[in-house]
Amino acid sequence: MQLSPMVNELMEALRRLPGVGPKSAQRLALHLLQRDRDGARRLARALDAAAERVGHCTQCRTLTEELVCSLCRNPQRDRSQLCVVEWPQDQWSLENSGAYRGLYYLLMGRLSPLDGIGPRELGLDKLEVRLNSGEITEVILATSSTIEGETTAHVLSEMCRVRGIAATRLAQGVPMGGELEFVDGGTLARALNDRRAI
Amino acid sequence: MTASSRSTGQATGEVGFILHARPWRDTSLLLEVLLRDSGRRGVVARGARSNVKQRGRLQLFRPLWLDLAGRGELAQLRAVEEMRILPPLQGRALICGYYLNELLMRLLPRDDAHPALFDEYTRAIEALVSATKEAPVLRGFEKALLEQLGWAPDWNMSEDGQPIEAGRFYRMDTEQGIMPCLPHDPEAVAGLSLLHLAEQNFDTAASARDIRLLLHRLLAPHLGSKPLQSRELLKLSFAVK
Ligand SMILES: [Zn+2]
Repeated sequence: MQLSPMVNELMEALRRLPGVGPKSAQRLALHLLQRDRDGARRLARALDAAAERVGHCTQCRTLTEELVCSLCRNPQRDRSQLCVVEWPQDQWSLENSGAYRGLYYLLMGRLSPLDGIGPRELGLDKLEVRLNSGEITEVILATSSTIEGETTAHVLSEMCRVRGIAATRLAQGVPMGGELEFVDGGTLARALNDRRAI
Repeated sequence: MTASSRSTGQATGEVGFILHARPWRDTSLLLEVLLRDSGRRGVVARGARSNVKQRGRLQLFRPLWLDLAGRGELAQLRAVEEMRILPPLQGRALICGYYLNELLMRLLPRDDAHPALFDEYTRAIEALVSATKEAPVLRGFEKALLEQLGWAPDWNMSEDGQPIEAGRFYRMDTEQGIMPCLPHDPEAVAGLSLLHLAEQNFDTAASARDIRLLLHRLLAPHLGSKPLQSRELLKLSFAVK
């Protein structure tokens, strides 16, 4: 069937979303147009506003439409602790855990030499300025437990070491409910390395 | 392994290392692997990103057993197992591992088998796991790489056919080989450094810098103008030490 240009464009646009194929795009478009026009208008306004105005916090690089995000401005947060994460979703996970009261720095990626992602791409120069300010006494390296995440953590830990700032790494090892038989060698090796007395 | 060896009931698969992995389509990985008997190959690991167990095995710097299917541009990964557990590279050694991989990705064409180079790579990774000094490991691999790819001069002789003398000075000409020169030549290195290089003595402080410059000078024309990211990272790691 020949779709109208506008309906067609809407479906094409929806397909930009990850995991949305032609069938799902059709379903979503029909839902918005037939059952929820108000929702469609609201979605359009929200997308337009966010795409126009959301940028990065000048302090921590998280997504925000403000110059400095509310977390960085919050006087309740411990300004001596800085947690370095890769992506906003990592920051949100840590925030949801409720166990952390310090500040963040978001790399928006991780060092990957063979993909051309180096210190410059991750804004490590800006992080250095932050570390030089003297306010931070502990840096928590919460980069992923991938090889790239480890590489990133190493370079960051060196940056802290020369400045006399304590650097700690999130503990890693056997996951909750993980049976040893199904844990890969690298995870096991790390879990052994980082074993603790009980 | 060839199809015929499979039909006679022999083991399938090959020993290899992953040099690089990147996301491919929605759930797959595109791997660049170094195989002992088939050289560098592109391999698609279907669904590997959503398969936690397989994802855990598909790690860099680990000796793997890889069963591949297909002879085209890209092979398909049928199965993978860890050959033996090697402790993971950590800290600076990790960046050194990336350096070896970046060299191979830049210099070794696909489907060019170099079993001896594979063995050198294996030895280098094993050495990096426990090395307290990484530089000698890197120099050993750079030398092996130059030799295996046919880019190394005769280390014991200058281009005029004379044996290298410890007390004389030489410079490396990437076209003509080792040329005698005057001590104040900006590229001059001591004959002793060349002799150390020839006998794989990478541990002597007096010659270590010369050897690094010589090897890098020989690699440079093949690496092209784009800087190696891992070498930049190593410099950074050095600079802060
Ligand atoms: Zn912020």
